[in-house]
Amino acid sequence: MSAARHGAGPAKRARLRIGMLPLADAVPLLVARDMGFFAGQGLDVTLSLEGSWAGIRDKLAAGMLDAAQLLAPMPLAANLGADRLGVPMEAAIVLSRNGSSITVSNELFLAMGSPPPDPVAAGQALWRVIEADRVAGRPRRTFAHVFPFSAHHYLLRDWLDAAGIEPDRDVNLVVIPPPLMLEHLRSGRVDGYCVGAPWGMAAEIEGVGRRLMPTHMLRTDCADKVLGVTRDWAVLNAHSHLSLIAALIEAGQWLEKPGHREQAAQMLVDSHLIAAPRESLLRALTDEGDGVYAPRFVFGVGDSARPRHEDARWFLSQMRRWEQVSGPIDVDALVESSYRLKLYGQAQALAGSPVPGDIVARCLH
Amino acid sequence: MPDAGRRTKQGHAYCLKREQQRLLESQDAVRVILVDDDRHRMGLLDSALSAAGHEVVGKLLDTDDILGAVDRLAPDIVLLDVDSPSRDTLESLGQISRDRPRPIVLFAQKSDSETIRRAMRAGVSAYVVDGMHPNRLQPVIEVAIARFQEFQGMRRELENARTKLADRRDVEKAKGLLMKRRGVDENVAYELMRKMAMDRNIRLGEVARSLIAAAELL
Repeated sequence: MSAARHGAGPAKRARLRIGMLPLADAVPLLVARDMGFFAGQGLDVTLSLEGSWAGIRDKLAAGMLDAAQLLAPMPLAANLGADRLGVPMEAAIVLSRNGSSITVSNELFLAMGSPPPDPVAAGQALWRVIEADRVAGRPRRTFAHVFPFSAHHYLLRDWLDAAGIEPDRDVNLVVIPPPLMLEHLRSGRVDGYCVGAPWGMAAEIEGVGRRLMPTHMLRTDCADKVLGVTRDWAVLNAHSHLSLIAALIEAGQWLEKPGHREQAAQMLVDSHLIAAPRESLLRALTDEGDGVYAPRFVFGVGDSARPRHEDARWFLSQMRRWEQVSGPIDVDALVESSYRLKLYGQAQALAGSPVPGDIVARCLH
Repeated sequence: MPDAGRRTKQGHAYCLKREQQRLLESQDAVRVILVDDDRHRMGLLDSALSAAGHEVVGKLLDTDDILGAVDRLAPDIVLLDVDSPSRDTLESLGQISRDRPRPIVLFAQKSDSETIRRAMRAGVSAYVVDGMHPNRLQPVIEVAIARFQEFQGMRRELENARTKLADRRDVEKAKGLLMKRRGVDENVAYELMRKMAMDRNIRLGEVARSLIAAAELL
């Protein structure tokens, strides 16, 4: 990439600053940078490590970032003004699907009778504990997720509610940044959490908690992260936007080819971005030896990176259900303007098609 | 006033008077919680806010129980670094507030965008009790911006000084290496390095460090 910067090439590279959080599923961005997919699309990208989702949103809104990894519901929240900022945003590619799990402390896991990895059984077990706590007059249990507008938040609430546990009455729900989750579980400040890999397995490796289930058992292939830009930026930088999406489509496809997950996991370990046990990072991406608890990230299988309006509709239904938004909403228009399917289609045409050789390689594997 | 009980009668009376004065002025005194992992900067901010007549009711680290502190201390405003991970924790308070009678929102919504941009560039973010008047908010934000900028300036100066020192040390070392390997005198060695730096458009110190690294490999 430095060669590109110093070279006197005729085409001027678009310089972009992209925000990301230190999470396992930020890996498509690392891959796109380090495997040259950004450069191949004529982009000179700087990845900017950010501290919080709120920080990413504000910097994107203020133009301090060109694009950013966002939680999948965030563009919807922005366009509704529910994020209290109201700067319109849009996404045209899904960076990751699946990947989270619900984890509880050792104490709670035992109190629940060590339930099997099944949403219904685990839900019933938690209900019994909460009922017993209530009868005995013990304080409410506290569960954490990562952000008000996140798949994690909605999946956790959905699971609790399905088990007859009212999230706003029977438990405390709080937001804790992923890197601090383990510490909060260890210190007993939270009893459980719903967070992306590797923080579920990390709790097991560190001996402070047990996973109940991966969230793909609750909603299969739910969009988790997207690449977001402001609507203004998308209009003014239409070409760069398409190039960016194309490069990330390529990165997603690269991640699904044989042997590449291992390579990407090593990249993640070498980047020292995430202060989690090495083994948890490696397994977060490869799913190896993790059985039914495997996070099962999807980055670029078939059309998985294409945003799905059904995801957006589900997020909206959750926002309404949990009273994050109220009043009439033009759902179709909102979904259309938040998840830009047409742009994805255009970018797809720019993305290099998978090399045929890889199919041979896959057969030989 | 935690140590009021230990004061003399006179001191106590003085204290009460001060308290009355504070209550009179309390319309302007803003209750502030600071969240910062950098104790030095937190100290700067604390003294500046106190000097401006505001009340710093809590000083926390990112790893502390921020929700508990907000519940207990009931601040008007929480100030923290734009890049602090704890921002997401504070964001949740404004969202699902059924359980928390004190909704807290990003000040962005209430304030003009120029203030937001200035604050963000300086590295400050603020969470404010919903409905707080912007007139009370503005001076607190101004103090925070000024202190954050001052702190950044100090850190930059320190870094510059450190870099200069390291550069001088490495240039001397690299010069010695060149003199020995090429059998040239000090001036020639220095000129060689200077030319390399100009050609590559990098600092002399960086040239020196790459020479040292290369020599270690050989």
